[in-house]
Amino acid sequence: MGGFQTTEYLASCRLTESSADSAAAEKRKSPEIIPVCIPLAVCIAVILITLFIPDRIENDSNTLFVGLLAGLGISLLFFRKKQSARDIYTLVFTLLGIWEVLTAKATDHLSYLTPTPEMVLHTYVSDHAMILKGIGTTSIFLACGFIPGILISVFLGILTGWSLRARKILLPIVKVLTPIPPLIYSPYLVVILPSFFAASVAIIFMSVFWCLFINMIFVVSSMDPKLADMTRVMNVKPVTRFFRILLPYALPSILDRLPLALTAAFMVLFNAEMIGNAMSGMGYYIQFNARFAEYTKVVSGIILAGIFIAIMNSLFRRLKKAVINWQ
Amino acid sequence: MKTSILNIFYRIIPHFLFAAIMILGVMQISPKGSEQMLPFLVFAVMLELLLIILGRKWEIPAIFDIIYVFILAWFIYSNYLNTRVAFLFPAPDVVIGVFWADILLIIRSIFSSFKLLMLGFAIAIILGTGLGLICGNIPRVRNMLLPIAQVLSAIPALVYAPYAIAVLPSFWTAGLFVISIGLFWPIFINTIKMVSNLDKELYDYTRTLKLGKWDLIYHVLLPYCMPGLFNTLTMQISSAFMLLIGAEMMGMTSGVGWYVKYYVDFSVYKKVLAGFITIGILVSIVNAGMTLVKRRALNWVDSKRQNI
Repeated sequence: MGGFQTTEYLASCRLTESSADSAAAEKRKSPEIIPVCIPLAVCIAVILITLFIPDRIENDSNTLFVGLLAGLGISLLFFRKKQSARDIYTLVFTLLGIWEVLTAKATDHLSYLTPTPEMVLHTYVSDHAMILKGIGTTSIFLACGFIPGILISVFLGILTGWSLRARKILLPIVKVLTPIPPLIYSPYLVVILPSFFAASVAIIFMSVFWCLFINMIFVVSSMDPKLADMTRVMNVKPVTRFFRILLPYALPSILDRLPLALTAAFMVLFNAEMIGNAMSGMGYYIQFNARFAEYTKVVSGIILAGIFIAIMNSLFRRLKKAVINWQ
Repeated sequence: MKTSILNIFYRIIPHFLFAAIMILGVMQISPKGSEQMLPFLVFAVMLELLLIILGRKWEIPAIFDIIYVFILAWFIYSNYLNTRVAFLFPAPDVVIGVFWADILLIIRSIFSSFKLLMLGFAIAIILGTGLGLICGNIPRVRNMLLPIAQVLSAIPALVYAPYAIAVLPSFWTAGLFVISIGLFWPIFINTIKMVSNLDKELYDYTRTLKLGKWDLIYHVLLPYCMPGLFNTLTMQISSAFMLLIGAEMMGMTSGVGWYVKYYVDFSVYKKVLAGFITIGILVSIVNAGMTLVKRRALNWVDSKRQNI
């Protein structure tokens, strides 16, 4: 890549100044128009295909799908400056178009396994009560297990990592216990704990705890020994040391670890909803509909879970940017 | 650690705990029968032998303290204090007895899980590194795919399971799909990041040496990505196990996850607890194997950099 720039630079040096300027001006102009046209053209093509090629199967109304495409097309205009964003839009439009063509336009028998995008979008409208309830339940369960899990694992992990003795004793045990998936405990916990809520929260707590605890031990123990000695020399009180030195030191890796912990927690919750007697929830929604072979709803549930987690992760990233302002 | 009275005391404690376990175990022989208690006593003696062999380092007695206290508390609770249904909280001797009676099935489950896990790892490594090397080399493709991959990798792969079971021909292939895709994304992302972070000077060297594109990938980029790959794999072991167990619980007919789920359905909780311990053993085997392979494959990297 470096070589490329050099050759370009040499080539431009050979040109006279005025022609170089005009070439640069042309370059500045062209990215504005032509590259934006490609994703937009794909978008419009998919809309036209959806609208004017007749469906060969019985399909839901295509208003939502066209609306979604148009919305994405408009949102593209906000990101038009970035090449990567344009490429991503092109890819997404192409994939949506292929999905639409393969499921609705090219075949003439309706397969219950491969729903059309219109059908998937339609379930968000027709099933919105259950979906919203599911999101609510899942969020509550996650919050109840997640927040205590983070607080306790960070607290204990930092303490364990700080003390050489505790670390040496606990680390071998923790190393064996950490990779045992908390998932495996879920059928047993569902039986021995009084309610499904308690069992799910316990399992989420465990998954978050094991995800962060060993990480905290490693982070704190890999702290610069000079820094550790300095706190000893300056006779810092344990409480101050914990809140003013160790916690800020560990904070970036905690926040880096949160998306992983969220994925693990979601996985565990999903599995618990499968085994226990859940009444609602996002995993339950997928499971429940898979049991009745309603794969349209299964696909929409999977997409919804993806969007939910993507939003949570972007919130974590925002949080990291807001909290860690010293890096 | 300096030798003091406290230190000697602290070295002796685990042996006292062992003696307490043995006494309690022998006391239980008459009500429970010797064939029930024998495996447990043998197990306790093996632990004690392990302690005597390894006990030189100061932290080992402390680790065995924790293990023995745990076993003792479990033993006393389930044999003397438990007033609830006994089969929900089986005693440690009952659980160890399961290993005695069910050893063939347990070993078969371990092998089955191990096979599935290794296949999943192999598919994910081949696809992840291969595609990652190719995509990472082309800046435009890299910039396009990286954000998409980051969104997709956050989706817990278990969510796909019900749909995969419906679409794919068997439960086994569905499980394999779920494990491979769960491992694929982190490996893919890591490879792309490694390739794009490659030192620009190295690129120029390869160009000076007139290396072809494939030579560059095979002889430069692949070894360059190895340490990162192994780190990703060690980090992904727990999520790989999570996927494995989840997939096996979803409806497979062999493996450790199946073993646990199967006996939960019949409420044989002693076998469920034995399954937990089996998974601990499997995890330790895989961890040890990973460390071994890592040391072998990365013998050209000095040990400090192996953990980066």
